Amino acid sequence: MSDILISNVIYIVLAVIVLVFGVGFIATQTSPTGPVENMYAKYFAFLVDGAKPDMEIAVDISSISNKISGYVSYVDAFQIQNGNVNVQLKKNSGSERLGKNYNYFNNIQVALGQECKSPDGKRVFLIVKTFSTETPKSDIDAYMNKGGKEICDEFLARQK
Amino acid sequence: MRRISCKAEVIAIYWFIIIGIVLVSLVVTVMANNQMKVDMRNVEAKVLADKLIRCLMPQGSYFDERVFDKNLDSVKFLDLCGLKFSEPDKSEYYFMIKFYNIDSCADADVKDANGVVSKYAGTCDENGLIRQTISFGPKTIGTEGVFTEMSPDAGLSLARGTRTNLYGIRKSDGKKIIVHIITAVSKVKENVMYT
Repeated sequence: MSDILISNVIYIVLAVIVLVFGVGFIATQTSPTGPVENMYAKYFAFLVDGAKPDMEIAVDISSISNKISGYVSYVDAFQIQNGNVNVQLKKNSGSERLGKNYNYFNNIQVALGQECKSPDGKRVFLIVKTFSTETPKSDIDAYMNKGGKEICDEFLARQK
Repeated sequence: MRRISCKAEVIAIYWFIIIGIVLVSLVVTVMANNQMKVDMRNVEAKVLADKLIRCLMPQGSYFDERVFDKNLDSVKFLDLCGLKFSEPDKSEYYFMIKFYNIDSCADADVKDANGVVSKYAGTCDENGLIRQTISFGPKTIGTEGVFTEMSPDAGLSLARGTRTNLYGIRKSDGKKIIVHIITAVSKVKENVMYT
């Protein structure tokens, strides 16, 4: 009788350990950012590849805004420079950017404006502005220095 | 009594085997999902072709006269078209542009993947070339790209590509020209799972 009891107890303990491991694994792996980062890095790269200089493109990031964490602004999760797009949704403690990369081949300069919210507040956009290679850095800086609100207001005004 | 104990132990072992199988399949499924990559090489090859078309014919049906400059090599062509491939990617892209006099080309019936037959000015006499071919990147990628365009189910480790025909007029002499463009993208590591 004691044999049966001991084997049952061992069985239950092992079953609980296996169950805890399984649940823990699922909990840590749900909502992985890797595939989303990979997809958005390609998405931004193709946007830039297809763009002409002096275009302003609004990218709807509403569906992933809840996955972005650790940044002051959503825009910091994205980096477009020197022919490379980097998307890192969760900020890491080090200075080096991790996340996913994808290269673009269009030889233009790109500036990422601040994020904009639609008037109803339900949608979040990133404004991507393109410049020709001849555009002086001062012009790009002037655009960036406008500040997020001004860029957004100008963009939303044009949508009306 | 002993017989019952043995039976209970055997059942317990079977239970652990079943739980083990479930757990392993769960881990494999989740890991596979996390490794998921969207293969966008076909789209990228089309984007590249579109970029080349816009460069060759910036204003409708007339070609940009600069592309007929005999001194325009592939490096200068990249500059002209605003293309800049970053260092690790240089060997991952391929494009080839051939300019033919329209009289040197004949229509051919071509079947696409769905069996639809269309006319394709695919057979052009090499003697009808108007200028030297412009090409960039390893030719093997281009060969793979043409192959996978005709056989979309070919192995994922092969490059993906697209072929485009462009009809236009050279403004300076009114010559009608057909341009064959082949673009192909390899980038297996960034687009195919388990690489």
